[in-house]
Amino acid sequence: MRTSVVAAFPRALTILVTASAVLAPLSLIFYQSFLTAPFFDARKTVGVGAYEFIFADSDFWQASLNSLLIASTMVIIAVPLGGLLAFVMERTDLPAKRWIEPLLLVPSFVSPMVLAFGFVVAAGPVGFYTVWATELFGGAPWGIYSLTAIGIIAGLTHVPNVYVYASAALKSLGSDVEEAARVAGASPFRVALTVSLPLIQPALLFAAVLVFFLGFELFGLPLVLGDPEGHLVLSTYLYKLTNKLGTPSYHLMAAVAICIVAVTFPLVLLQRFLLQNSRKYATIKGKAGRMRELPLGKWKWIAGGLIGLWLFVGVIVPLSGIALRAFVTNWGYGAKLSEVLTLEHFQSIWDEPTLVRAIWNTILIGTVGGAIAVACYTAIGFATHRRNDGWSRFVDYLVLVPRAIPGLLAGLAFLWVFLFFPPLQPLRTTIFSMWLAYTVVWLAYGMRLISSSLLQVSTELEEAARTVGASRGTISRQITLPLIRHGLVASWLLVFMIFEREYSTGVYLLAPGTEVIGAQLVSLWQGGAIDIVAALSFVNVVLVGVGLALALRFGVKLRD
Amino acid sequence: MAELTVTDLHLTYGDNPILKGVSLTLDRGEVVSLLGPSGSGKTTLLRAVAGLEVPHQGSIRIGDKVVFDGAAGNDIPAEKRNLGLVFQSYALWPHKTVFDNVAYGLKLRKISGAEIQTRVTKALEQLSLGHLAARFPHQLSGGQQQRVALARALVYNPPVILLDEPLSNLDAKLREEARAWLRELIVTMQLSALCVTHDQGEALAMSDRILLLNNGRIEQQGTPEQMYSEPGTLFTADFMGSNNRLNGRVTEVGGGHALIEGEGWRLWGAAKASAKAGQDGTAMIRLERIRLAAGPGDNRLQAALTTSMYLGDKWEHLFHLGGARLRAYGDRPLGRGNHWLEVPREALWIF
Repeated sequence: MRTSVVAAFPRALTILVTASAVLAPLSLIFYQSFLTAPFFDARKTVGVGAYEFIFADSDFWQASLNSLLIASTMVIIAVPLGGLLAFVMERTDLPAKRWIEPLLLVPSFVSPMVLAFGFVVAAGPVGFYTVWATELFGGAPWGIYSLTAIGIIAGLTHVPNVYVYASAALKSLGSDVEEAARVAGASPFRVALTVSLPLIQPALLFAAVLVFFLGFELFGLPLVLGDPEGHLVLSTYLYKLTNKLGTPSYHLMAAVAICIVAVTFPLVLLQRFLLQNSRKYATIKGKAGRMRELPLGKWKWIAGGLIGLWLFVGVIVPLSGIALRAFVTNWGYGAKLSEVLTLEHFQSIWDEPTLVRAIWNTILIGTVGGAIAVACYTAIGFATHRRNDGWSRFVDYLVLVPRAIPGLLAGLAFLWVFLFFPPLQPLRTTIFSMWLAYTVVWLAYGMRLISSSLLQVSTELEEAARTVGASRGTISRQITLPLIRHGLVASWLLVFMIFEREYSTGVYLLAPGTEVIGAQLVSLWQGGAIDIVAALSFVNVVLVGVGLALALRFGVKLRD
Repeated sequence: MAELTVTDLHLTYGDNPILKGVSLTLDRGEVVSLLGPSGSGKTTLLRAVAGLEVPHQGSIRIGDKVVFDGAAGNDIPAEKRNLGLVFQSYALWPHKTVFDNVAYGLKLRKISGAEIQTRVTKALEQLSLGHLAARFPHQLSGGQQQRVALARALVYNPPVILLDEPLSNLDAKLREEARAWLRELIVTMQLSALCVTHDQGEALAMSDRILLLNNGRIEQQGTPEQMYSEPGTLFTADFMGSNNRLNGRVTEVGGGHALIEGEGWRLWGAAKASAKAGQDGTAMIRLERIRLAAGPGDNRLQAALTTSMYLGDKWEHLFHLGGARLRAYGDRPLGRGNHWLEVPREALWIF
């Protein structure tokens, strides 16, 4: 059946808009990297001078090495901990699991910038916990500014990423293969070692690549924690290039950006390959049924203690640090908590119009912007839903592209897009520019939410509508869309939290009119306004917390 | 001697009782089938024997060893019960080869490598799987997977082998062949087997004894012939075989016989315990026992032919009698209109 031009138009438009939103910024970076000066500079010529410059810079190589070291440390820490956590949560009788589960996911919803700042005020040289430990025991045996420390902290905060994939794999692993091993005579521990874990190996491998990839994207943690000792990673090297040369060196930034994408893009493709592979593996699963939980006995305390310790270090320390710091005038040795309590930081936020606007914009971009973003993702989802043609495959790969571009670079690229195309220039200082960048950066994430909703609609329901005479468009509007509406509301909540948490995308787009909390934090942190940063971080955590509470209240699955 | 003894087993999921006091024994070399509709508790009973579900009352003994005793709080874990279980889904480990799947139980029993090699090879040969040892489960057909699952359960010589709907994942044609093959294997290897099925034909063909479960209780048990030809209750009669059912009023009971009457018909039949004179009753007769007759006579009734179906080896005729439908086999097609049917007294049960 040939679809008429009119019927095909919405789909073609959706694909065209998506393609330009994704490919224009990337092409611009690529183009800029082969110029010898910023693209708006009349003296620019085509050449590889930018690459020659950064390849000759020893800081660039040091930053690359640091990125590699941190990413590897993260894998070494996050994968075993995440896998173990998943096994304990999915297969044992650990008490209060229902309460622990949402807590485990908290680090993935709090802005890394906020977490990093939290670590500084809680465990830095004059942090709350450092001061208390010194007063109690005469010293605090930790430092958070070394390269190893950054790697460990990043590893601990990325445990949820591994946990999510490992536990999903364990869930979909039919319990019958485990029961078969039990009946054959294997103890529960033996079952875990010889059957369960080998069977989720593809998921663990995928998670390892994911964490390694996220290690290269890291920005907030190394920016805050690497600063005192001068450790640079690729993203912070890029960020500091401007300071280094004093002039807008867009061609150099573009060259570094292309180097980062050269690492991340293959990793994204590898992830896609591994994910498909692990699904192939999962098709030979048995019937999922009830599983007798493995009794932990006295190990309960050890497992519970370890989870508690991880939660304490990864969640409670930084968040309590933020919460305390936002309400004290100053902090250090000899300070008494009861004497320094204050609300004046919130008062100063209130008195500063840009900051009030930042909070207002952040709420707006999460609620209204989140809803529009979900609508866009849904449109793209429908453009590929149940269609197995070349265009669907094209869109499949298209949505992967932004995944490979760290938010910082995407923000930079969008800044250039808005400068490069004169018709777009008026939009540059509106919140629209920020929203567009956010929506494109989180395209892959949003598409995953939408497509998992779409996949739950059974084919027969749509085919039944088709046989009674509904056209494709009618089916989408009247059958599929109503069926996935709960999924869409859930996606909206999740996108809200992601948009509240986002910080790096806005760094270069920050301008009067486009202020958002995340980008404002980076800028204020550079300016050293600790009090304001603490208070603003607190506001940010509260906003994310509201989203999280709503999500839990309405039973939204926090993971797919 | 009983290889397996289950006494008064009770099991609940939350507030929902699944087993309400089930007892059974399984003797050496015997095949016992647990038969019942879905939700009757048959799979739960099998899983409780395997140690994969925890009953809250009753006891389970394997040989002379008590593996579960609700009163004593005694519950031996599944891996210490030394049973063989063939899963409905087969549950082959996808990351192990056929050989490793079968060898796993022996490895756990710390058998030496050389002996594992011989025993696994022998088990695979027995099930004509010898040439597939190096394959992975997903490279096998359904029938082959089923045999690997069986080899895996048999290789360490468990005293009892448990089969959970072993044939349900096979195609209809393959299922009949596998049924004969499985029965032959169990008999020649002198295995003691407990088998769950929802297919009465499978239960009749495979077992020495059938336990019919209904709603968590044993409705009736006996040899396949007893279950088929001497049902004690309406449920058993209805579950086993294809039946004609007539509802009417019982007007006379005596000497093991009863008379049941309906609109335009009255029939004599064998009285079952629940038949009481003056009350409503149900008459039931197997499809193959009802006969076409030339004209009126003793225990005959007249019904209108609705349609006929050709089954290959015979015809099946469908009649209407008042609101009831009757089915009967015949060896030739029938003309339209009313026909006489003979219902032999000894073949009609009145409940």
